This record gives sequence, structure tokens and C-alpha cells, in this order.
Amino acid sequence: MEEITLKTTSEGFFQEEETFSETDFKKVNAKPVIKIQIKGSASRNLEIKFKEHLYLKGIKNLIKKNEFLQLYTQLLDSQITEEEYENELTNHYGKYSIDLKPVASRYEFVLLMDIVSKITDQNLTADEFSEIFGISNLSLEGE
Amino acid sequence: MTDFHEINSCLECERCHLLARKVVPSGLFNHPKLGRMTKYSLSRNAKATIIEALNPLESKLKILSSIMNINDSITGEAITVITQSLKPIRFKVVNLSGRHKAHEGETIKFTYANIKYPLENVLNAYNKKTINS
Repeated sequence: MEEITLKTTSEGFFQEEETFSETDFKKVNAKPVIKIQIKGSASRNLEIKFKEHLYLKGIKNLIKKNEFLQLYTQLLDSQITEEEYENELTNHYGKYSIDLKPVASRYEFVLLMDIVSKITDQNLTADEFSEIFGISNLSLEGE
Repeated sequence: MTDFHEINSCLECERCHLLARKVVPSGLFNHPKLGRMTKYSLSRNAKATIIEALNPLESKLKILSSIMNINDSITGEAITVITQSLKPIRFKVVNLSGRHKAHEGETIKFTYANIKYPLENVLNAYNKKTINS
């Protein structure tokens, strides 16, 4: 079993410590397990979970958008009629629609900014940002 | 009959006439206030004109600066249009100028439109203003 422990240093940074025991690894040779223990700060664990949630949300929304655009191109190529298009949208609305919600907290916004900076070198527009992460555009809030 | 060009100017209406050289649907969204809606992004000399005003004449999104009078319009390099209907807008190809053609269409339900990117001359004037001040 491989253990990775993270400890906070006096300067506030995370330091990795790896411990590895052969006997433990032999026992679970068929399915090697990597155990990650995080010590020092609970907020680090929370951040990882939160970021994973945001990544998944983004991927799901992009899949939904892709599905909708595929349906729309089918309509433009007249592979399906307008009635079929409408029926498909009304019956399977959840498959195509992206739920928009305002940003819950400042912490979430900071994490989103961190993710966005890693996605592309170019800055995302407000529309692209709201589409990917399902955040209602500030101009639509009105208040 | 006023045409608005300023950055972030937006309109709200019951029916809207759209004109642009490039029209791309962006997706379906479920908004907490508006419910089910379809989003289109219009670019390259886009224009949205109000055909039918809201009844009563109040902003649904509670935006103080939103344009709601009949025949008023917004023009910009790129415009975002959000409409409540799931029906696709039927766009026709029309002649805009001698050289260029454009797409023309109408929405049938509540519509919100917002200038995403203003015309180049408006942006230049705005930049000059900020540098001088």
C-alpha cells in the first residue's frame, strides 16, 4: 500500500511525504490501492472535492450543449421535422438543458477562476463561462 | 424609433425582429426566473428591434436600464438573444447591402437581447473617452 501524506509547513505550504511498505502491497497485489491521507488542513480536502464537482458539472454541460447542437443540425439538414424537434425537446428536456444558478459563494468563484485560468490561454467570454459552468449571467440577474 | 449602441444596453419585449449576418444557436437553458429558454448568438452587424412591447410595460428581470418601447432597437457587432420558446426561429436569407446577405427572423415569445460586443467605432470612441478623462 502506498501512502501519501501531506503536511502543512510553517510557511503554510503543503509538503508531500511518501511511505511505501512491500508487505502491504503484496496483500493487495491484484488491486493495488493508493491511499491518500491529507493531514494538517481539512480545507484542502474540501477544495479537491469541490473542484471535482465543478469539473464534472462543466463536462456534463458541454455534453448537453453538444447533444443540442447535434439535434439542431439534424433539423437544419431536414433529417427531422420541426414537430419531431419540438417533441424531442419537450419529452427529453433534461438531456439538452443546462441549469443556470447564481454563484453560491465567493469561495466557489475563486475556485472557478482557478479552473478557467487552466483551461485556455485566451480568456473565456462571460457567455462561454456561464454556459460551461451553468452560472446565470450577471446581466440577467438584474438585481 | 431610437437605436441604441452603448455597451451593455439590453432590451426586453414580447416579440422581436432579428437581423444579422451570422446566427448561431448556443443552447437550451433553465433559468431560475425565466424558465425554459433558447439562446442565440448573433454576430457581424447584428440588430434587434422591438415589434411588440411587454404588457404591462414592466421589466421582467427588474433591470432599470432595459429598453422596452416599441420600434426601439439595439445594434452591435455581436448580440446575445434569449427567448422563452422552444420552437426554432425560422431565419430567411435577405439582402442587407449590395455585397452582403443577412439572416432575418422573428421571435414569438418573451425575448431578452443584450449587446455582447459593440460596434467598432463605438468601442474606439469609448476607449478615447477613457484615455482622455
